Amino acid sequence: MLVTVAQALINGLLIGGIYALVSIGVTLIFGVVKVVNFAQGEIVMAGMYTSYFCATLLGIDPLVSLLISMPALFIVGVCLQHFLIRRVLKLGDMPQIFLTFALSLLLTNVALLLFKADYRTIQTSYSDTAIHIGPVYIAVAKLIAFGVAMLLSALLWVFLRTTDLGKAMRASAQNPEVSMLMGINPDLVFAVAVGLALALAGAAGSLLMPFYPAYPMVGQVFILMAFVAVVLGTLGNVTGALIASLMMGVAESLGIQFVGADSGLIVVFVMFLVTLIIRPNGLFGGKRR
Amino acid sequence: MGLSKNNTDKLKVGRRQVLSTTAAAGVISLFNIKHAAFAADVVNIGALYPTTGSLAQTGQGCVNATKLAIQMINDAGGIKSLGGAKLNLILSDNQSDTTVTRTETDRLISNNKLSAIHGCYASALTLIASEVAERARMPLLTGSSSDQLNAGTRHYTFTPFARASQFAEAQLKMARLVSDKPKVAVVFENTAFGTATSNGLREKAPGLGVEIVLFEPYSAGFADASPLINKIKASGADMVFPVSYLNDLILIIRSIKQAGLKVVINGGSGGFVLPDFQKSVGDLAEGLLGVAHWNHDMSPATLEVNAAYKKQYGDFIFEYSGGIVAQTFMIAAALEKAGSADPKKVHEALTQLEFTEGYAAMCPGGRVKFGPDGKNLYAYPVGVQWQKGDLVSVFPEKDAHASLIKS
Amino acid sequence: MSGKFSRKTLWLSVLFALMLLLPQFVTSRFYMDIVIRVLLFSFIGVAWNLMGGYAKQLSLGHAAYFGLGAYTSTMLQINYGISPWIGMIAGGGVAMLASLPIGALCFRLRGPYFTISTIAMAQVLMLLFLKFRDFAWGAEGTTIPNLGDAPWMMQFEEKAAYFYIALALLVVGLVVTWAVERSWMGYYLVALGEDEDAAQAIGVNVPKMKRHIYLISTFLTALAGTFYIQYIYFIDPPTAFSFNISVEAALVSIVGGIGTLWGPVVGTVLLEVTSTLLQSWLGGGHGGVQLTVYSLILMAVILWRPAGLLGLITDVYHRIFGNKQQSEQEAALDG
Repeated sequence: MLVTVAQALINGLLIGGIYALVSIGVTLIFGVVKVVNFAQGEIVMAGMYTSYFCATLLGIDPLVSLLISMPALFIVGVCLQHFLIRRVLKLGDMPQIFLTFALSLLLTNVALLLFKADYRTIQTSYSDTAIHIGPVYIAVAKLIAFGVAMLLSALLWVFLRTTDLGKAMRASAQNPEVSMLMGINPDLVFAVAVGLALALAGAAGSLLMPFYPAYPMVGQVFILMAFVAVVLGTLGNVTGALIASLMMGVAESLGIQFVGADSGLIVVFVMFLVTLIIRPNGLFGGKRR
Repeated sequence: MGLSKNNTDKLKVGRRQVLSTTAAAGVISLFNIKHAAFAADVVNIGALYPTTGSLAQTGQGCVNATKLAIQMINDAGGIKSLGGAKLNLILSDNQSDTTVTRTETDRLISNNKLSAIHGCYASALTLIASEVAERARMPLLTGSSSDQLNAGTRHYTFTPFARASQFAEAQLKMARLVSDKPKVAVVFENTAFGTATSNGLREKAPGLGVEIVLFEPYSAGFADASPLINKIKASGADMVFPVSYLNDLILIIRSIKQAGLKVVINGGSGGFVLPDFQKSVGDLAEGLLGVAHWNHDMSPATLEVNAAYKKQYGDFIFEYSGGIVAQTFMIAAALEKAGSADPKKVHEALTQLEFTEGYAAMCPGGRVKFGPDGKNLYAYPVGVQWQKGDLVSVFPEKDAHASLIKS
Repeated sequence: MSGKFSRKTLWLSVLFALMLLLPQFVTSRFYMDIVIRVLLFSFIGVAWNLMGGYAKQLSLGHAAYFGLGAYTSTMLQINYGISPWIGMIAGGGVAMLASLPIGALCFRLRGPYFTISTIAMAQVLMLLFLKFRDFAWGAEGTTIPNLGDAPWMMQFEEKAAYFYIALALLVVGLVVTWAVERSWMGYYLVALGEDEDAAQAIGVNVPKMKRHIYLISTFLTALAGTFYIQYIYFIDPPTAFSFNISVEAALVSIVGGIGTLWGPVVGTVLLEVTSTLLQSWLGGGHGGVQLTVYSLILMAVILWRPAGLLGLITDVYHRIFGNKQQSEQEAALDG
């Protein structure tokens, strides 16, 4: 019993790390640009395909291709902000949500056109291995993914707190008008924020590739959980999203173990709704609306 | 069952033409779709498969098989009783979506003069198409396994292959071949396909001496299989029956390996019998067992079809696709007998015919005769095993192409 | 003023008469099917628009009520032999009842929080219907028994009958919207949609307004659920609680113009017709092209006509008839 619980906790934390990369991106974009990006899952998909083709065509290990997918998607993010999101910033929630929703639809179907619906996997030396510690085990590929995810989150945290650009980003997040008066160029700040968010999603894709198949619809697997984590951790709060993602992973894993394998999501959603009743702005939102 | 020399020769001619016309095939089929309704010397067959959406990959395989079968029939001279009329394929994409399936089936039937249709891979989609076809009095052939397709007042739905309830029996019997007292964990996706198949397992297990220690539905399309594997581990099972499509199955198999769990796996049908399963998990597939309603090595005829398919599309022809080739030949035979492209006449011919030879009889047991509920009276599934990267028939003995390897 | 009014009435009467006669001209089942889908999704859009358009509460969980309506009538029909005509109203009632606790929870939230909580609600309902298999057929779903031509059980051989039902639903939806728009409630809703706190401050009972409009909106959505399931002959949780229904309801309103009487209708005509025709032209073997085009249209509308296409149409209309005053009046309502 104890072993089962321990194993369930480990499994939950490991997948929670992946949820975190997706949800931190969503929350970063929301915090700075005030847009909920429904296409974040498809960016994960783009990251997966990038790593897949790096591995099959160039023989690059998915962990190394992180260095390709992240900058590539950073650039995509800057373009996305400049050519699309920027144009709907003043239009309110609905056009924004539906613009990113249309983008998600577009990316999925373009991927379908280009790569067909095949499930693509790559086999690395560490894909199916695990470290066994007594009766419990930790899958190597997932452990690496978790470690890199935590490292990237920490780097982002440091960036937001120590660099001028990071501080400008936090200032924009808290009060866009004032920050503009202070001479912060919102276009630059917004572009970098979206770029970073997409780079993180791309990293999630690369980290998933050794143990998860890539296919055009793969983004949908992760996006719903990421949204729940983002709301639970208070929209715009990076640390909140990280902690909430890990919680989601663990709740899902325990839910599957003790309620039923078809109830992991039910447990997560119930937890989500109950939290919102008690704290309408998420766990880290305080009383301010 | 044997394959007449006559048929083999036809196929050889067919294959040569297949090669020479592959490049032009796309153009020709487009041309045909546009002008089909006006040409007098063609018979239209409708095919509904998901080429977009979540099932797009297998749906594409189904479409490929349909094209191959039509080409084989046309190269062999078309429908002789209709003056050598050629079959014309009218494809429709139901986008893996129930609503679209409703609309598309209706559109397919009302916009074209069809003689019969077939589809749709996923049971939930086939159920809708069959309801529409029923009301339009259009014969529908399908390899989908849901027993619901034979229930109620349907008269126009024909299911030549084994039913979900029969899959369970074969799977359980195979379990007894491997172990005397198997303790089985049944984990199935919470979909029409998953529940239909697993219900059969639960009902029949006690009678066949199999103990089910875990019976667990899961939400299809999960991010991580390891919580489920943890559950299997805790149940003390020595055998696992996952009922899953490809994506979940890949994750389950990999996670079992990561967990170091030593269990016999019978992957049933669904994603397990697809060539991509083996490509995705590599050596982990070796020795795994499954069940299918059709397999490419069952008979000389299936081997011929498989060779032609492989030449054109690269992979071996998987269960559902192979069944589609057989179904298309059944439709052709019905047209031949009816001597008319009228769907009602085709329906009548299908209820009367018994298929015992040629490509139309490519079914485990080699015999197809539809009962009043549209069910093939002689259908049963074939047990399969991944051996050296190929899916081979191992059960029952009379259909086996190789012997079952106990790991 | 009376001249304008009569011209508008005239156009509406002509349009309505044409619609009534439509089955006489459209004999193809295919085109009839498109028209039925347009009417149905317009109706769903109109129902959503009351909530999302006037009160500006961006719900992406209306599938919850669509599904509850669909399941109520189907369960009454199959388990007790009760006609879907009665089941339809019962389904509406169940949806209204469900909207009270769901609303009580979700309305505590604002903006994206509200939106995501509505998605979660619809998802939870779907997962529960999947999980409790003995309650309502679980994942396997069920087909609607084929009774041939049975008008009392909402089954017809002819498409025209389905057409008239869908048309009637849409007319009901439009009349309700028209009535709401012109009542005090309509003004309160617009005020609430502009700024909740300000509306509350000038004495609008915001929670009560939200609750009331939600009741109307969910009731109408549930009616659509019953009709839809009777039309496609099949129900299972992913169909009845499909996220696509929630999205489509909002989408047609946004493309057409939210918070306007005719916006959802205009949006549906454009989106459904393009989508169905693309599917018919490209369907088969061109995986992805159709939805790619669809999403590009969507992005184009959002980028270049964010207020919706209805405004474009009325602009053109008034340019032709040179009626500037009315144009301004409409614009004020749009805002």
